[in-house]
Amino acid sequence: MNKLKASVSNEGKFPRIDANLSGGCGLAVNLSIIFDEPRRHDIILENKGVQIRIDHFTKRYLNEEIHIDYTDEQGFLLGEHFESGPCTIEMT
Amino acid sequence: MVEYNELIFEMSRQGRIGSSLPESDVDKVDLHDKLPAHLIRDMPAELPEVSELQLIRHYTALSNKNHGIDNGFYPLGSCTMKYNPKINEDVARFEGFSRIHPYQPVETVQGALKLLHELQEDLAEVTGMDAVTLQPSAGAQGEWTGLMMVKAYFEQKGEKRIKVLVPDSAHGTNPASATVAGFKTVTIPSNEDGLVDLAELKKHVGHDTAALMLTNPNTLGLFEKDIVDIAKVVHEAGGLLYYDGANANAILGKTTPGNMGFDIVHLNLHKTFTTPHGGGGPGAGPVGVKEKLIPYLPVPRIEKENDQYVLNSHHPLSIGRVKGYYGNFGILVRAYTYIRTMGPVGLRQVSESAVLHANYLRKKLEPYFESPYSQYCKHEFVLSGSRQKKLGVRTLDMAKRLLDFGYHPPTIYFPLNVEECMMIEPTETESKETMDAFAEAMIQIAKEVEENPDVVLEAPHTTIIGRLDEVQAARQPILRYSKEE
Repeated sequence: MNKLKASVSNEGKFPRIDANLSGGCGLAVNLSIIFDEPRRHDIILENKGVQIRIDHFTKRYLNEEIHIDYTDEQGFLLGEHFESGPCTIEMT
Repeated sequence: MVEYNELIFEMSRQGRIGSSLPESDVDKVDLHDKLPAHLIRDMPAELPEVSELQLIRHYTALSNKNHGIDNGFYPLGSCTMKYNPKINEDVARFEGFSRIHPYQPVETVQGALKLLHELQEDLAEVTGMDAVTLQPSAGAQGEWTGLMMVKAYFEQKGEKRIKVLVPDSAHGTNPASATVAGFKTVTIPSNEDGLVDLAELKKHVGHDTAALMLTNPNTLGLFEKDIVDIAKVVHEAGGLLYYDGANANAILGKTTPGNMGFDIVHLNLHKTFTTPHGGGGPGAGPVGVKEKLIPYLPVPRIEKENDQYVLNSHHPLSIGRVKGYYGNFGILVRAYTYIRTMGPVGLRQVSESAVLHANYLRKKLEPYFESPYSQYCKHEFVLSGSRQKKLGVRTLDMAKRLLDFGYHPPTIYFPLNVEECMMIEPTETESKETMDAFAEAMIQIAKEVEENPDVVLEAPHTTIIGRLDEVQAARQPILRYSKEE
């Protein structure tokens, strides 16, 4: 949370949980934390004084609980179970 | 109209049958006398018990729910969903083609072998190659076959080359085929114009480079204008140039991969040469090669000796057989028919119209969507949904909304180097009216995103089943039917 707060003040943008798709013959959903501008109809979650944005599209891909972690090596990590392929839902 | 939405298993009624067989005159056999106990089912298989009429109605109803090129526009970029002329089907059903057997002596199938031999020559001419094999049964198998020939070629020369270079816009099958063939893949980034970055290519090419795999035009629909320099860089390092023929529809009759400097080509007959797109087959992915690779072609090769066509397996450097018999013959007959029907002038018109159509549609849609590459495209083009993303609507939402207009959506989220990508390929067989109507639908959706986004976010509205929950399907897939579930 401290790292998120620091990033907000440094970047001047808002943290967001964002689903990005990559496709072709299948479809993979990659969830990540990014910092960007507000989007229309964003859902705003607040935790320990930090506001995190989610757009409606991304919300489809999130479970009720989602964990956020940070390591110096990998940056922000996002997932339900980090042990088993965090950040990605493969749909092929 | 009655909708048949039940699974065929749900329609089942005990004892109902679709055919009447005479009483068996064979004594009943006790399975336990014939098979080990662990191979005998505990319970009968839950096979559906339906009448013949129920069966016909069920599968006819299912086929009517399908979307195909025969009932609607299908601008699936890179897949070349163009019309498959029905004359192809007529010819493939000729008894002389459909009722022969691969085990017949070759002297009794000379006509079929002549057709295959002529198709090899036609495809060699179209691609600028020196010889062609028709054996591979799909584009991806063609890639693998080509790469196995690359491997055999360097092994014969005593060179250890382990790397295959692929641009970041490549079809996913390219790195996959290279990996399966035992190579290490290296990704070459595109430059800001969406083309192979020549400086990056030079950095990665070396004495361990086996091949560069490239499709031209590339998956962004852009012609690699530096292709001569690209070929020079790879050849000077001793590597080979592999052409992925997925986009050959854009160059048919105008130029050839051979002219561009390629050494190996695979073609997807279901794309450029109007054979049916099968859900897994049967297909055909012929491979053409330059002279230095001919010894490595799969066997048996169809050759002409005096006035006879023969199947020749006496090629000691061959990589061997890659497919049972000689390929999917019925598919090859369809491609041959298409080439004969079109002729050289017709094939040239194919690529000219395909390119014209793509640019026409691109120009109509550019004001409403981000267009990451503004230059003229070839047979397909990419748009980005990044403008709509800022308004909370994604490309996937817009693709779902297109279903309400009766269109199959474009390819989405590919190539990977374009944000919220839509890859659109109208093909040469569509009319101006169809493309105009599709453009109007896309423009309406772009306006809905601004004015009434919920109608897009909740799409589709007119399909039998609404928005599918792909997340649940990925997390909790139910892959078989059983009464208990």
